[in-house]
Amino acid sequence: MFFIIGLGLSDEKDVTLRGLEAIKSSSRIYLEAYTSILMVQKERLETFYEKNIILADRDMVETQSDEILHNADKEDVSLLVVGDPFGATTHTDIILRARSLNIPVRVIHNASIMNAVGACGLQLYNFGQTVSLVFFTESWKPDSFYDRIKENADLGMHTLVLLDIKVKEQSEENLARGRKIYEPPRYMSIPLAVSQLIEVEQSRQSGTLSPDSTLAIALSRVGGGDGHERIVAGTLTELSQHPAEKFGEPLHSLVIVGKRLHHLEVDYAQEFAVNKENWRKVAKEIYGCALDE
Amino acid sequence: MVNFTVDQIRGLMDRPTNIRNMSVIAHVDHGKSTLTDSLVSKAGIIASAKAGDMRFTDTREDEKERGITIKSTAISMYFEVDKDEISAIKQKTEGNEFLINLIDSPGHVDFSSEVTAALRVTDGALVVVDCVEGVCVQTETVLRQALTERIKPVVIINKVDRALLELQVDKESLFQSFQRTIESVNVIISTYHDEALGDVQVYPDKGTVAFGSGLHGWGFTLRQFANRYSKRFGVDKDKMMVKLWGDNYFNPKSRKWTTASTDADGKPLERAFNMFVLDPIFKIFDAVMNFKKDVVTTMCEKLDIKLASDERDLEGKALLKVVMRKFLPAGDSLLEMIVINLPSPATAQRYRVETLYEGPMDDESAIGIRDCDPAGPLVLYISKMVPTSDKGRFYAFGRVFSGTVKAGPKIRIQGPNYIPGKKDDLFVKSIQRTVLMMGRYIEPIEDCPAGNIVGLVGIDQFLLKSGTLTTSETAHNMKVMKFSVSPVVQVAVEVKNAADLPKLVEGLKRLSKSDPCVQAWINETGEHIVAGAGELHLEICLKDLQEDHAGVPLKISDPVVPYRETVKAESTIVALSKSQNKHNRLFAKAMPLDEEVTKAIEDGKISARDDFKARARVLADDFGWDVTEARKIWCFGPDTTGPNLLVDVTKGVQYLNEIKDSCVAAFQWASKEGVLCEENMRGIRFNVLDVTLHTDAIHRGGGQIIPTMRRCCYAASLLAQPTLQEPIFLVEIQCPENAIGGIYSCLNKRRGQVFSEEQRPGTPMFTVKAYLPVSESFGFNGELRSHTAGQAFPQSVFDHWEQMNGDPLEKGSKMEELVRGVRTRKGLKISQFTSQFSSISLSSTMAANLSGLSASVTRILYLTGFPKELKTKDIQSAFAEYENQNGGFKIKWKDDTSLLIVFQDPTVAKRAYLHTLAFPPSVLATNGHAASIRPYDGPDAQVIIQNVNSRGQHNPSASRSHNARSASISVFPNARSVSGTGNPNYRSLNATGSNGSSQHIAIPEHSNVREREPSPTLPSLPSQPTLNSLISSSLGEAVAGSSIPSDPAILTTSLQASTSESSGGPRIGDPGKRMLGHALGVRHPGLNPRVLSGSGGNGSNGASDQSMGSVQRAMGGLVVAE
Repeated sequence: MFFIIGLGLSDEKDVTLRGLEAIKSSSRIYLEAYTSILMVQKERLETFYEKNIILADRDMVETQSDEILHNADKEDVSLLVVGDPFGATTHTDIILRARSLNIPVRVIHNASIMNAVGACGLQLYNFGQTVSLVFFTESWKPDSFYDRIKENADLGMHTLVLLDIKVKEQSEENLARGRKIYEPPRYMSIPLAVSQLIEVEQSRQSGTLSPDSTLAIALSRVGGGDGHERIVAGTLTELSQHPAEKFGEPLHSLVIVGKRLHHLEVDYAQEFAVNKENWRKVAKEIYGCALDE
Repeated sequence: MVNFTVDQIRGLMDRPTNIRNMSVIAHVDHGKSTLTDSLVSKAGIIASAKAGDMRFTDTREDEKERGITIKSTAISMYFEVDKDEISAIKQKTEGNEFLINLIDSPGHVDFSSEVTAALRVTDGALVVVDCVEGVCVQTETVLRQALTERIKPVVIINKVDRALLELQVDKESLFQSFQRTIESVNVIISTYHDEALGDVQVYPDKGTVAFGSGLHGWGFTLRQFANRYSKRFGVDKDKMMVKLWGDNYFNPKSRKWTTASTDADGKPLERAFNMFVLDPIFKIFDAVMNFKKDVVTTMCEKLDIKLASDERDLEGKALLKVVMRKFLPAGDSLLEMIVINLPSPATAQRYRVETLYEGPMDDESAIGIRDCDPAGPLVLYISKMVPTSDKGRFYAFGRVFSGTVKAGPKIRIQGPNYIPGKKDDLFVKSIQRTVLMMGRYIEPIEDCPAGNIVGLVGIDQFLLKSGTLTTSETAHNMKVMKFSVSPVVQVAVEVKNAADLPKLVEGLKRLSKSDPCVQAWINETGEHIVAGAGELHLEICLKDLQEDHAGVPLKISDPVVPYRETVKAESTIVALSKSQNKHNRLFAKAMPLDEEVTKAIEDGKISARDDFKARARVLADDFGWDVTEARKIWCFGPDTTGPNLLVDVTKGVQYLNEIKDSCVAAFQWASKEGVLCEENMRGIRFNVLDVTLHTDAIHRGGGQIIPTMRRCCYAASLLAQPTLQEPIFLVEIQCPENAIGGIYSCLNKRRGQVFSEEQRPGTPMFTVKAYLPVSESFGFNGELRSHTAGQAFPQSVFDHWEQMNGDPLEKGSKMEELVRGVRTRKGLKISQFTSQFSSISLSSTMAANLSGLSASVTRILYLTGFPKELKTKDIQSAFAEYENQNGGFKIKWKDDTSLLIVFQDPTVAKRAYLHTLAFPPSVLATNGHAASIRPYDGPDAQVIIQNVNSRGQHNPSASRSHNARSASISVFPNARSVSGTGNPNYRSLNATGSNGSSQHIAIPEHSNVREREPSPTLPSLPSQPTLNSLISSSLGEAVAGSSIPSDPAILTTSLQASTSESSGGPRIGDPGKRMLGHALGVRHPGLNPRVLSGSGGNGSNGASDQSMGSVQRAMGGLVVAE
């Protein structure tokens, strides 16, 4: 049996009981470590699960799935995935391969940023398409995500923006040459993300992300408990001016608040606002939310 | 005894109208440096007595030893022209003092990059032509270079003394010889006619042709003689010059000028040129060489030649030299010709600016260049680096085109890759000193205004070989120089003593700086490679490296030749490559680029920097491209300028521009390191046909796209008949007639091809022109010399790339060997190379596996697991394609869902088997049933065959009514009908099938089987071109066009194209294998080739695994056999 097990958001203890049973029964355990990262080291997982864990980087999952799937029809093999197995689309591929090898697959779900984003107070029902924001380079500034955000905004929906992480990425030259030399890991910070959003807004000029009238909520280490989880709300301008360390440690996510804003959502998120008055003011005047004073 | 001061020169620098920047260019050994001596001696830099022997501009030791110029050398001179002649100058001048900046250039082809660098900074050229040898290949090359740079030529016919002394020609034939030479120069000039430059053909009667002897230091133009005679005849000087050339005759009796060669009585008249110009010269020669002392003295008096007392005692050649030099001093007449006829920077920059400057013609820099404005923004082009006496440092040598350069202020140093507005290849630094280059000396100067040639100190570390210096923030680059030679000869160097390695690296840096053409780099295996234009060039470079730049003992490998990878046809099918995460797919095809387009790109006529609309226009008008496609050229490669194109021919694809950069980056690398043996690609056009991308940018970043695109390029070129091109030298050999035999035998041995053999009129010398592969040229000169007793002198210059014969994908072919050799040399994996090929056609390791083949594929196929309701008819129709081939097949049922198909011919059986694996017939796979097919090799095989055959002839015509084609095509339920371009092979496969049908039936099957097949197993290899067709056709369906069936299950039923070297199957991680797997749209090779396995019967898996492995080998074997 090939298990794909969601580990949840934060640390080793987020694993489900069913997941833990599967891990205990497995002869080999892989930890997928590039679509997201866990807030604890592999060693802590190993002591907790009392099992050895093999770190599977992007290369391994994408190009050496055979090794992972080897013998999985006879014994149990687990692939641990941070968050939920279906959070990152890459894992559908390995399941397809397993299927074609006639290896039975079992998926064990867990929480993911896709649902935990509710922590910011916005209702999950009102979220639209999720987009990723990648690191811009001098010449490569993909801005198609803007269209997705605009589509969501036009329908009044919130947009969850996942921020790029670069773990074990190769430089362009090394990539083209097939050398396995990796760049140091990088995580996109909220101010950088906001500045990229504003940059795109400036070139597109459609008003979807106008810095002063767009509310957004920045999240960090959701599910990490009081010590780690940080949520900061405000307009894009406020967020971009907010000191970077106030947003907490990576990983970060950002929610662009949609126009169909419920007053409860405003009240809940107000707690996190950089500037509470301005938060309410924008919600009321620009978002047209009926708030009681 | 220099007759001018640096201050005088500096003063003249401010008068651009009185500057002449000129280079001396010619074929090797036509006497440039010797002639230059005459000019230099005129300026008093060397004693006039030494002129002609000293070769002042050959500054290097090896130049002196070998007697050839290797580096171009600049020298500035001061010249005062006769006040009377000022009127002859047709451009604006002030006063009669002139500054002449002369650059003496090397003549040997291997160093013609030095000529290019010299031409860039000059406006005029003195073309030296040997009066005996005439116009040679290098004369033409340098003239062409000059004209394309818009440089005005004047000509001197040199070595006239040789004609007189050695060949003993008469006056008329000397005239004829002059005229022929001038004509051939003019033919070249008119070939490269340029409107902006106007008519620059040379005419003696206009004073643009001089005659003389550099060795003896004398020379003249008709102007000097016209001066003498115009007074005597009372004719205007200019009119007199016309009379002194061509068909003009003077009748001494009637004292009349005429154009008829006979007088009224029909007596021949003497040509004016012969009578007035050649006659005195011939007389002097005659008198001096025949020791007629008295005649000499009287002639000297008559011609107003004053000899010093010690000179009177000289005799023979020495006396001749003195007399002639006093009579017709070469320095004066040549400098006069230069000053009068060559343009000043003020004149020249007006028309040269368009060809020099990349930016718009109306920006401040362009205007500054056009007006040669010393107050404008600084624009200075560095054309080469000159080593200083201080080891390892260089003067940056170049020309100020606009503004004034001086030490101190910060200037922008823009390398060749600088793009305005960006910060790449840009330094902002200040110059330490400016100097005047004076041959072997330098003179410091304060500053240097526009129009002058200058050396700069202190910026060498910011420039590689050349670059643009400017003060203007908006300035674009000056155009980079196009060299007529390419570094086509390479050697690997290594240090003898490992500790010297850093010195070698530093030395290589210096070497590549010091020579405009040499290239040095480190290849994948860590070897240091030095590439030069020819053997001599490389020899000099390596000597410099060893003795000068690195200063350490070196080991030098045998020379090797670079190749170019190209394709011969359009990719047979669309290459598909999937990204690692499987979310993105790229579809591309490769096709050859027209040779004309390739050349145009290499010559810079079409370049990456052109405006895309203008470029599209040119491509459409001159090369028959589609305009819309031409506008969608994404990039050139390698190095963004090379002769390969990436063209976007997609229709309405979202996000395409977001992966463009990644594709471009991948293409650059792919075209730099081609698929065969990592040589540069040349003349390949890649069409991106379609892409499917993940909507989210994070899943289609460079990490996903770059390797994918690169693989896609490789696959596309493998599918397009990849091949190699090798560099070819054009060899010109001058020799006497009796040496021609030796030349031919030499060339024949080395794959050389003679394409022209001409006698030079008026001489016994022959000129043989031939093409010679560079790879065969090593040691050619030496061998030629020994074969012709030293009478033949070859000049080899890179001419073109030529497609090589053979197929690199064919096992055992010459080219495959070559590719293998290159890969070994570069330390590339051979196995990777073969595995890259294996799935398409070649696998060498497969040969070893052939033995495994015969045991596994028989004439009997075992089909099982199909739906119960199938009838014999259905099976027949599914295999209808094979009914007509070599005896067809018969069916023997075993039970409701299993049967044996017995083929008459094992080859057909195999083909049917492979085809069924690739395209499970739809009838067999319906309703969730999973049919499986495998070769049957049971102990009773022999019996079955006999039984079936004894059953009597199965009549295939019964099933003819079935549409064979539809049965085989409808493998993919939702596949579109096969597109025409997608799979020509598919059609040809069918064609072979129907051919076979005509031979069908006639032979009694029994005997046939017995004779040919004592055993049911397969004894020999089939020879049909089947697998290729199979794969191609399968892929044609799988990947042709843009609408791929999205169901992954369909993809997984595709044929297993990648064959494995061991039965374990290749690991996915191996990039080569993966590449093709992806490229071919084929299922992952590590997975079992269980083809018709919808739900998969687990029980039979183990049993069939082994045979599957053999099937893979079998397929490999098939391939090899082809």
